[in-house]
Order: sequence, then C-alpha cells, then structure tokens
Amino acid sequence: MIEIQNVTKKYGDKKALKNISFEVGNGEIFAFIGHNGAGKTTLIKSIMGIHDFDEGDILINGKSIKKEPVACKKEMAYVPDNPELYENMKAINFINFICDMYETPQDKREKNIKKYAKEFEIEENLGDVISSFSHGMKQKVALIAALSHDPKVLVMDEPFVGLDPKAVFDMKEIMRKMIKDGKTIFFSTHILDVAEKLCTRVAIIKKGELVKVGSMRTVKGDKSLEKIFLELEK
Amino acid sequence: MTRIGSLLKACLTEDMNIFNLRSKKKTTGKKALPVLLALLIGGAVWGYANMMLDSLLPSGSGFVMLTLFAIITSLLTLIEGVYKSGSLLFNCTDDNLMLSLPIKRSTVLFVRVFKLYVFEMLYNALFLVPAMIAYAMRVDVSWSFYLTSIMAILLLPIIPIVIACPIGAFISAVSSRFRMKNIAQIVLTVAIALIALYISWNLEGVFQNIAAHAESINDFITKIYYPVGAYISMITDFSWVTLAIFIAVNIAAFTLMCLILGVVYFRINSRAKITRVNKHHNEHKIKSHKVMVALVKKELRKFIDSPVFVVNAGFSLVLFVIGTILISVNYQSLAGILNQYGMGEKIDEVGEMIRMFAPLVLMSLLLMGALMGSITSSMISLEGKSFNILKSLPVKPWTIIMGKVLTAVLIMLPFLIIGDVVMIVRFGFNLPEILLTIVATLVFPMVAELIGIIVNLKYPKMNAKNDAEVVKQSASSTVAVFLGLGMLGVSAYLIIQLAILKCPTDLIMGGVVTVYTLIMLGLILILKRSGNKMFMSIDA
Repeated sequence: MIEIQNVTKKYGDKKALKNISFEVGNGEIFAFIGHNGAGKTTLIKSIMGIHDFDEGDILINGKSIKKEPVACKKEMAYVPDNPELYENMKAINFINFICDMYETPQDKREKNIKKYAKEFEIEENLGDVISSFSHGMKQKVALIAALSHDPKVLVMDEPFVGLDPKAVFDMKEIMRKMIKDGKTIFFSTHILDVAEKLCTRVAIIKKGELVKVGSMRTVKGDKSLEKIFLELEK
Repeated sequence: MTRIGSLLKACLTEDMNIFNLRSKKKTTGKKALPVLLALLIGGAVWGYANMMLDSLLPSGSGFVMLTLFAIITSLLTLIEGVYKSGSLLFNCTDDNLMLSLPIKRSTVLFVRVFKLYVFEMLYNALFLVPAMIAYAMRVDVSWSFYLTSIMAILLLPIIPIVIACPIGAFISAVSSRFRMKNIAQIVLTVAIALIALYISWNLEGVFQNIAAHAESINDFITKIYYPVGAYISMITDFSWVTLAIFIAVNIAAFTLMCLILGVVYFRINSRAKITRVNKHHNEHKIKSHKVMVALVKKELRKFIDSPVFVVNAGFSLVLFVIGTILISVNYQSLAGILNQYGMGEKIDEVGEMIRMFAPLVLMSLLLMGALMGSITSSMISLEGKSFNILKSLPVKPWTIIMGKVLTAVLIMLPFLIIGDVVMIVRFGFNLPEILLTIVATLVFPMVAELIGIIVNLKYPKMNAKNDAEVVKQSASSTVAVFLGLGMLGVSAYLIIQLAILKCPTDLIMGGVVTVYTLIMLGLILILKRSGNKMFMSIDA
C-alpha cells in the first residue's frame, strides 16, 4: 500500500508537486497520468526515495520513505522511464546484481529470472551486453530485474514505452496476476487506452496539482479517459 | 561559419562550466574551493619558477625556465591527448544528435577536437601563466612579451593535440577489431603512453645539455620542437613575421588534421560502437552474492570497461611500481637526489645512506601512487543516468559509497604491495619500518579515495557524453588531483625537512602514518555525517 500525504516538492522557487495526497491500496493497479512536465516522474522518484521532497510524507505499507528508506525500498521495485541500465554489464549480470541488492534467495531468483525471461522472450539474449540491446529489450531487462525479487509494490514510469505488442500483452497479464496476489502497482503512462482497460484507479496531475483522483468509473464516468484528460487540460 | 559557431557555443557552454558556477544551488564554499586550489597551484608554480630564475638569471638565460615549462606542458598535453582522444572523439552519447545534423563529419570532429583543445589550453595556462608572470616580474620585458605569451598560451597545446588525436584514432581503430576492444584499447594506450614517457625521460639529458649551453638554446630547440622555439625566439627578439608564421602553422596543422582525420572518422566511430553479441546461447549461471561483494564486483566491471578510467588510474600506480624498481636496481641515482638536499655529504657509504632513507622514499612514493590517481573522484559521475537505479535500491547510501571506496583501494593495493615488497626486500627494512609501511599502504589509498568520493559527491557530473569528460575534465577529478598534489607536496616537504634535521626514520614514518590515519578518520566522520545527504541530493 502506498500512502501519499500532502507531498510538496520544490525545484528552487518552483513547486513541482503541490500538496499531493492519495492512496494506492493493495490489489490495485493505479494509473498516474498527466501532460509532459506535470510532475509524474517527480512523484515517482519521491515514492522510490530517489529524491527528497520538502513537505509531507510517503508511506509504503505503513513505513515512511523518509524515515525508513531501506525498509521501504525492500518492498518495492522500480522501472525507470528511460532504462538507463549498466550498459557494459551482461543482462543476466545486471538482473543478478539487482537480486543481490534485494538479497533475493538463490532458488527464488533462479525461478523468477527464468520465468520472466521466457515470458518476455529474452532468454537467448541474457548473456549479451546491455549496450547491444534496443530500447525495448532494455525495458524488458529492467522489468525482469524489477519482478525477479517478487516486490510487494511495483512502481513504474512509462513501462510500456518501447515494448513490442507481445511484451505489452505479457506485461499486462503479469500485472493482473500480481494484483490477484494482493500486490500494489503504481505507474505513469501516456497510453490512456491501456490505463482505462487495466487500472482500477487513476489520478490526473496538472502542473504539480492533483486535479482528479478516484476509481476509474468515478473519474471518467461515461466518457473515455482520453476525453476527460483533454477536457482537464484545457 | 555560423553553424560551427553555434555548435561550439552549445558544446562549450555545457562542458566548460565544470564547476557549475552559475547554479543558484552552489554555496560560496563550493564555488571558492576550486578558485582557492587554482590559486594555490598557481602560487606553487610561481614559487618554483622563481627558484629556477634564481639560478638561471645570473647567466642571462632566464628564458630557459619558460622553455622548460612550455616543453613540459606540451609533453603532458601529448600524453593526455593520446588517451583522452580515444574516449572524447569516439562513441559519445551525443553521437546520434551530432551525426544526424546537416553538417560535415569533419565539422563534428572539429568541434570535439576543439573541446579537447580548450580544456588542455586552460589546464596548461594554470602552469604557464604563473611562470610567465614570474618571468615578467624579474626580467625587464616589453609589450611584445605579453602579446607573445598570450599567443603561446593559446597556441602551444595545438601541435601536441594534432599529434595525439590521430594516435588516439589509431588506437580506437585497431582496438575496435578485437573482441575485447576495451582491453585492447587499454594495452595500446598504456604502451604508447609509456613510449612517450620513455622518450621524454631520455630528453632529460638533452635539456641538461641545453641548460649547460644556453647561448645556443634557441637554435637547438627550434630544430627539435618548432612551437616552443618560435615562442622563445619571439621573447628574445620579437618579429611580426615570426608571430604570423607561428599562428599560421598552428591553425593550418589543426585544420589539416581535422580534414584528414575527418575522412576516416565516421568509419572508426561506427566500428567503435559495435558491441559483439554471443552467437551461442549458453546456460547462464545465476549466483547470489553478499551486498558489498555485488557492489564491488559491479564497480570493478565498470572500471575495467572504461579504458580512459583504467589508464588514468593506472598511470600513477604503474609509475609507482617503476619508481620502486628503478630505485631498488639503480640506487645511485637516489643518492644523487639526496645529495642535492645535502643529506649525502656526511655519509661515506652510499649503501648505508640508501638503507637509511629508503623507507622514507618508499613512503613518499606510496603517497604519490595513492594521491595522484584518485579513482573514486569519478565513480559517482560515471554512474550517469543509472545513478537513479542505485538510489532506488534497498541499500544504505553509506554501503554504496563504501563499496566504491573499497573497490578503488582494492584496485590500488596490488600495485602498492609490489612496490613495497621490492623495496622492503632490496633494502632490508627492519620490523617497525615494515609494520609502518604496511599501515601506510592501507591508510594512504583510503585517504585518497575518501577524498575522491567526497569531492565527487560535492561536484558530480551526471550528464557527461563520454568517460573522458568525467575522468579528465570534470570538477571532481580536477579538485581531487589538485588536493592530492597539495597534500603530496606538503607531506614530501615535511619528510625531507625532518630527514635533514636528522629525525629518526621510524619517528618520521610514525608521524606521517599517524597524521594520515587521523585524516582518514576525519574523512570517515564527514562521510558518516553528510554522505547520505550529499548522495541523495545528486539528481541524475
């Protein structure tokens, strides 16, 4: 569960996030949408403890990311918007490195790496250096690394960008399976169709302010998410 | 011309603002440190130039000092240019942008070489300007001296860069044909740098000869190295024609090199980008490691994969090993050095003198090996955008920071231990000397690497386009080198002074080790208190 409580983040004098509050419950897939520069990545980085924020707090399963960052991060996994991985590492070594950091047991990591590598059809490339990969393949490596330690909370920034249609389908299936197990998924996206079909709840951010948050049905009503988003952007 | 101007402006504005002085976030202290260090280095160079002038001016050959400064900075530019150009010119992260622009490939090359030139020119100026000021203060110079000197500062780095870039391109072209191209690049670069160093060492005899026959210095240097010869010639006898030729030769050489290298530049760059993939799918071993072991393994991998990083870090360490072997094999040369400081006169037996001072010499060499090649000063910056991955991991920043420090110390230790063993065995150190040497071997690299990581946390460069920008041209590496130089200078001076005062060797060694241990503990305390905050404040 993610609890975002009155979070404000400033870059100099400019407020990138203005008093943001909402919750993402267990067993929820939560979409976070907004225009470019609205503050999506800033909030995601705040949730992951990648950067500090000026006011408020973020709780991960009841623990504060400010006070107990390591404990919070142990329960989360992060997929960045641009998979800037360790380019000179082999994909398998990178995933193994991430597992080492999460202290994932040997049998669990072996099982998960094999499972997800097979699902994303990247088994044969695991021994190659990441710098030889396309954007989509790097994204798959980032996803396998994130999933291989069985996180309770999965935080992703634009996870579908660069993935081929088969991988997008597989990713959606994996996300559905995860919420059945009571896990939490929070991700930002510009692909509103996917958000509409996949997510249980949604939040829309505009210039650092939360303009709408709630269940998909409450937020969009009878209209499409795209229409609501465009109306709010006016 | 306008397009080249715009390109240069765009590239240089970002690259030359290495201390990020325009940032509102920087505190006065952060801005003042580099300025203070530059002033300290400038002051030290000025003092050294004056010492040289003291002995040269009575014979009317003060300009020999400027000749030596010009030659040494040119040689350094040549050696640095060789191993920097491979990384600065090829396989940069802005390749896609630059090569997609509607400009000639030679223009892309020109812009990249120009960036190298500007940095080398500024770096050389740090040494040349104080020397020139010292000369102007002691010798009655006319306006032409100032004009000539400004032109020399601007033009002297050009020829070494014109020579270095094709060598760097050659290394990149050859190494790109190997499967393990990074290793090949490291081996080739080290080989060429050592050859350049060997030649420059052998030039020492030539310089001594020149100093002994200062009347014919101008003619002689003009024959062996035109740019310095032209500069000295204009100082002693200014001529507009010589100045015009001096400018024309440098500009022509630079332009010609860009045009000629531009023909093959794209091909070499494309080859350098190729990453070989496994043809056969193998069963991959998945093996778990402790967090610290995994971090060290990852850092070692990153280190080995960056030729410019390896060469930069390895240079002082290789010099350390060579130095200890040379001293052990040919200790008469050490006796000569000690004699210069008045330490050899009252000791009849050269062997006994060497034995007495060998532990101090080794300690000074250990300081040089450790302080001159700070590895950690680049380790945070080299994370680049992937730094966010580290920040998102469930590991304390302290662990990540110490993983980097430990890796750097582990890289240094084998070299330092080889040097230690060579000298301990050759000169038969007694037990206290051996123990103090062992402690020094552990403490000195720790101090150097703790300084490096703190400086890098203070001055990160997360948007570099290649490794050379971080390793050689970033604020953190520059500050770490200057701090190392300063500490080395002060320590060596104190060791020599205490030895002259006949202070017991064990006591001097113990004192140095104690001071550095205290510095190490102080640095650990700083990191414990502020490391986490500095780490988290870095925005990739």
